[in-house]
Amino acid sequence: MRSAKRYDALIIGSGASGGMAAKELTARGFEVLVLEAGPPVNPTRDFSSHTWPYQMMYRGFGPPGWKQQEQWMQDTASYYSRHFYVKDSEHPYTTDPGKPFMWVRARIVGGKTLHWGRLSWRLSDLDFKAASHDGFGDDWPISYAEMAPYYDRVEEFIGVSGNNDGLTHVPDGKYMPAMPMTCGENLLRKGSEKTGRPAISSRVAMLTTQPKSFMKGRRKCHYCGHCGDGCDVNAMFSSVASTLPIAAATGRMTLRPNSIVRHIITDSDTGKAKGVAFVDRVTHQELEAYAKVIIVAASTLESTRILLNSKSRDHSQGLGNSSGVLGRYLVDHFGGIGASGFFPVLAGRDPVNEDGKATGIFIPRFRNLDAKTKHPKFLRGYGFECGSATPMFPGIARRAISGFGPEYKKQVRRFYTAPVGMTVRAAMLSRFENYAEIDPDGVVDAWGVPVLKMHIQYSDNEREMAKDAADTSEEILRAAGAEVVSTGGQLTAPGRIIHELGTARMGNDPKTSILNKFNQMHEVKNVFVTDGAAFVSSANHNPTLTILALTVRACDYLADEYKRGNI
Amino acid sequence: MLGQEKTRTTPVAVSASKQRKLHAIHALLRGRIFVGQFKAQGHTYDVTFAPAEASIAEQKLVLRGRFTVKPPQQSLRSTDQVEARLVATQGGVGVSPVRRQLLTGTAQTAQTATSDQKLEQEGGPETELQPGLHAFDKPKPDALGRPTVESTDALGFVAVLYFHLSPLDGEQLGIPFDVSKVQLGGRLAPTDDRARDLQFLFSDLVMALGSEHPDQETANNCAEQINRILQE
Repeated sequence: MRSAKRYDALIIGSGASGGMAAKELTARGFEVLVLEAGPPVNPTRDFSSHTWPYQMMYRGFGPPGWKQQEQWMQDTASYYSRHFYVKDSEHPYTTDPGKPFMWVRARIVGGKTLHWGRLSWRLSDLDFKAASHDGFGDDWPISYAEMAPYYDRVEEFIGVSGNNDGLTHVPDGKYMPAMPMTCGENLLRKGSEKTGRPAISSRVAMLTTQPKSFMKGRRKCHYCGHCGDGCDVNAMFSSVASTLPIAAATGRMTLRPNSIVRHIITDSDTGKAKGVAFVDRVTHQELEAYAKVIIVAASTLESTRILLNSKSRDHSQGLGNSSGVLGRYLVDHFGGIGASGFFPVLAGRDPVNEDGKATGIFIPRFRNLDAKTKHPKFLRGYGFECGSATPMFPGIARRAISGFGPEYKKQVRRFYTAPVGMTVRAAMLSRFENYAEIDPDGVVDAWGVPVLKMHIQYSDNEREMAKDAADTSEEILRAAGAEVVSTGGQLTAPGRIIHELGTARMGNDPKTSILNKFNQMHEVKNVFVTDGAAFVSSANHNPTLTILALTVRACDYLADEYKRGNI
Repeated sequence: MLGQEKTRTTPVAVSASKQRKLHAIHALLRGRIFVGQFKAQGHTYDVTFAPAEASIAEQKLVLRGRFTVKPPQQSLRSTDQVEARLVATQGGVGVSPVRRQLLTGTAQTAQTATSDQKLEQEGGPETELQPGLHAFDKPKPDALGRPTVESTDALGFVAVLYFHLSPLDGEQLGIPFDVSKVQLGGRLAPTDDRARDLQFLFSDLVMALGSEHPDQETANNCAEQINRILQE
């Protein structure tokens, strides 16, 4: 039994990029098939942002030891949101001894947009043209001027709250009003400014005013504070809340969950892709689907895995990989370094409801912006994600206050209104020797699909940056008048920040890149890779806004080329 | 769309059905035994692999032992002398195995001290620890005063061992699939002292054999200690 229907476009993945591609292409009249590897999501059943701890077993912390059972559970997932993530056991990957990589994945309709951090920063030419700035690596084949209109479109569509702060290396955009700073955040902002480093409200994809007419089914944020557990009112942007419903409403999108793509099928006569082979997650049935254009948007490393597994006579190293660059230049951001403490001036004040604010403040990059800020020991830079609020379960009670009994409780009550913390978000240099490959020892997943082996380590550049960040965070906290409780820390293991990027990068030269400047494969013209795999370098900013803007831009180009008969 | 007529309507193609293969089983190390299950055709099959012997062959760990299956609504079925050959590993991130006890004595001493282990688990990933550090201690910087990397290099440990099992007989075991090439993913998420000891030993053995300069002596010592635990 062979298929038959040939879609205009087949999109692999329904997360940020896949959802946006579905919306953009259906709007242009394309008939689209979206294959999602995970199950469908039912917000009524699966979202629990309004579930109180006392409604959960173990007050929402889960039974003892549950986090150790799967790698991904150890940080990102809460017991409320655990069903959004895949289990390492069914979806293995391998690493070299002593060189771990934490690969957090969310195979489910909507992907990681169901629980993403929502921080939405534009990259600037300091990032797109970083190599020209400091001589390391390669520039992106695009500039900020080319990207700016697409950032505009995406920000207006998804709804981003923030301020226009006038910093050229953190370009301004189209924002809804920013969420107000807390008392502690204002103290920290002033302290940071004393050291010559501006601190700004974080820009987040949350609706802070009434939704626009096209934002059907979305509501203004009401500060319940459980964004990562699935937003019941769709105040935060997700594919499920925004792009996929709009695509579905056109009647031109078919969404098939539980569809694990094995590889892309190519036609040796035309040199083009003609479809994909996939397996049903539940029934294990082997299937195929066909389309004129394939959009690979399965998330950075899943997309690269699919391409590497798509070997054929014409593509012996994986699809479009005669350059050997596919899988290379893997990066993540690093965190784990910073400082925390409390503001004595805020200790013992009346408790206020601050735990529902969906974001904090940000101290943007201040190193290596120009000759005056050049650091002698490292390239690029980092920013600090900061917060000061009164959370329901204050970490300060566990980390900074010892003892037990009535005196302990008294101390917790006193200091829980005063905590402050800063954590670095830092760039990692894109290096050829950090890469992912198909596991050479034949490890497969539960469906028999060969898995990835990761090879990634930080260089001296990241370690020097971490040392500087540790010292600087303490300096800023002290300048803000905080009592510093802890400083330093460890660099997070690669992958933990969940900003894995690169591995199918764009560029002008097919010998050193996989994609052209429109996310189109150099070697297979009807295949586009629109997720984080396309990144040339990481900058030090959260990547999702750029992924969305790149996707819109790629879809514009694709549609034009399609009309001209070039695809 | 775009002016082109669609002539066919079937959404997807179906390949010819073959006998389903069982590709991979996931298991957690509990005590000395890997305990797991897999689901197929709406049924759950409980599985254990109880290694009785460890050895090193071609620079890889090999376990040999009893593989047991509980097919739905049937009694236990097992087969002995199943070989599990380690092919790859996934490095762990977060709470590392406790090494202190084994460094100062035999595996038996590990059964006494658990309070610090609990502290380490409570410390969580934001306070990732170096072996032997108290939960509230700061991680030590490297020789140049730079922060270290979580769970990396000397702080590294193994989270999952991926074994290829020797061919199984599906009919004998009551498994209606092709089980000639099954992968066992053994996750080391210890909740008991014996599993903690084994995680430490498996980690050191893998690190010893997988480093740039393999350390055969350490690997052999680890294998010896693993055998001691497996044969207790």
